[in-house]
Amino acid sequence: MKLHPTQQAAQGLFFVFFGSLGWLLGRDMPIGTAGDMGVGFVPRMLSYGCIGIGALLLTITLIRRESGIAFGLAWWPLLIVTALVVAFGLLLPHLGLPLTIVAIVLAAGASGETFDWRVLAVTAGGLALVSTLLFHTLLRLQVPVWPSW
Amino acid sequence: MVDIFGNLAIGFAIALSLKNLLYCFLGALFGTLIGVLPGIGPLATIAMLLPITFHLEPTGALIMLAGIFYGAQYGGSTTAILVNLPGEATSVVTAIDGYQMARQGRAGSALAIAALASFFAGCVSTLVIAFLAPPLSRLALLFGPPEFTALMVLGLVAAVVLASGSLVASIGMVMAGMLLGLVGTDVTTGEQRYTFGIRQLFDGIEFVVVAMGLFGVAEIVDNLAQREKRQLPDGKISRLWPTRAEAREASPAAVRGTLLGCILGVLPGGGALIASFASYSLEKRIAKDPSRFGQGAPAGVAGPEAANNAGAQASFIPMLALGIPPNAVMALMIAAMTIHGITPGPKFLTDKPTLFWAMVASMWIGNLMLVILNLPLVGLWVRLLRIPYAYLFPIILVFCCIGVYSLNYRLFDVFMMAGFGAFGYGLKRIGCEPAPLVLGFVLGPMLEEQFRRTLLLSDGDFSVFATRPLAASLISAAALMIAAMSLSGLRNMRSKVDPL
Repeated sequence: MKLHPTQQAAQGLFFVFFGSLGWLLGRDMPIGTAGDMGVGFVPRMLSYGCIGIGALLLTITLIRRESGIAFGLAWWPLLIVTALVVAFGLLLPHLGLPLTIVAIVLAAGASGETFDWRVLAVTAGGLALVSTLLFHTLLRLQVPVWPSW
Repeated sequence: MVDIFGNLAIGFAIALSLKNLLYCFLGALFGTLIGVLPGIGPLATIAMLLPITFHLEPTGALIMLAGIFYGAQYGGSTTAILVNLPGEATSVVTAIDGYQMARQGRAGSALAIAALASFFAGCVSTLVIAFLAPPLSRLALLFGPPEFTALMVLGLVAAVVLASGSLVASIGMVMAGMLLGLVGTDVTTGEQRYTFGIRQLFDGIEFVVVAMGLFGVAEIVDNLAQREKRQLPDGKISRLWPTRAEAREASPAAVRGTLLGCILGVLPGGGALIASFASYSLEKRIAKDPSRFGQGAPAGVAGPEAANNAGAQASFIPMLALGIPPNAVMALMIAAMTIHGITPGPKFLTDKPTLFWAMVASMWIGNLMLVILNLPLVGLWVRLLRIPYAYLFPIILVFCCIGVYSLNYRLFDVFMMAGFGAFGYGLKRIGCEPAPLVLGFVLGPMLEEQFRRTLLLSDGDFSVFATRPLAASLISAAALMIAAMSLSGLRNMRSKVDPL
């Protein structure tokens, strides 16, 4: 795969940011000496390493100065998938497993894919039933099943 | 010699019990079932299926995990051949000629060739494990902190060199992963690092959560974003057996691929990946008519598929014998074994020999089962691939959530997975492979511990890495790899076969 210069710039920025974050959040940890390292020694080295890599990537991008396809995110899929996972975590303790699954699968209809509501409803019901039987009844995982407020 | 066959016999006696056969079968079946789903590689498959092994005793759980591993590998190849959607980098090569064969109506023989080549490779590499792992783990008992440090450095260097994508970015990814791996309580001093008083972070970030976010959730986002790229399997699968001409072409390729896979797979890093690329370029070079490659050449399926499987299985050797994962999938296998109270490493073979040999035996049985299972079930996999993604992705997502939740029954892990999913998608968009990050995440804490111990014993003197012969040679090997990389021979070879 060929890297687009703009992607490379984004990589550089990411590593500089990540390394700086590691340095900033870990600046209170004792460094110690090579013979008697503190907990901060290796994190500090890694933070510097990340910043260095990021700086190197940014330098390469600046030297080459090529124009490329801008990097972009597909915001809607990212948002909906993240929201579905978070919703699973929020709903599970209250609705129990089967109802949570029904809610999640139906909400997944907002993904922008083409689908038939009836088929999605059947999928939701079937998955709720199968998962509850498999994980709760058969495998005896301690997942809440009934709704409780 | 006799010793090994005696041990194998004991292993087979355990693995062939009715109960363990059932676990192996179920593992292979579920592994393939999930692995076939588009965009799900072996790593996400194993992570999703972890909960079904929870209530088993260690032997059964290990056998089932091995079955899941093979099923996931094989499922990925099936998807690559039928819909040109490789779930992971190693299947990319299989997709080149496999998908062309499928488009010419030869999907059945492509799948059969892949299955039989994998089976052959699996048989050979099982024996390689049986012969190599015990002496290697005896050797590892002599290792001290400097040797382990050097070995892990070598592993990380190899992972970077063999990873696809930019070299500099891969180095950055390894370091970022190590930094993430250090979150939690420091093993040596008991002090907290990067936990911000959050109780759920005291034990560190759960590895399965990271793996599932980066390889499961992020992949779903990416699939949804690339709607136009998805394909449905076309045509009916008529014959399920290669013609004699195809078999004659494929068999020697499978043998060569197996050899390459066994040799390269033992190396730390992406052994299986480089093996399948190397096998493809080898077959193309020695073929009578190289122009057929890319147009549906059976040797282009058999060679890389054998190399991939042999390499994947050979990577069990450093994992079991040294306790050091050579790639991200093996890192997950270590995490899975730890859940069942088994710590892979030099002591594993001496402390639990029956468990080790039962696992080796079940690897062979798992490979056999896949052939028996998959050829008749091809029709089912095709139907599964025809399900529109709109119905498929919520199912995958729900299984990811349940899998992560059931690790510790913590909702915190579910939220973390959402975060790592978004993080992983971002990394994908800036062109960073998540595999080096995951490997760094696992090796980071181990490496730090051994590194600190080394320098504590040497009183801060770095020359121990040069004066101890074993450590020195491992470090030189790592240095040699970097040198070879900068001389770009390896890189050129790789870019030539890289179809992307």
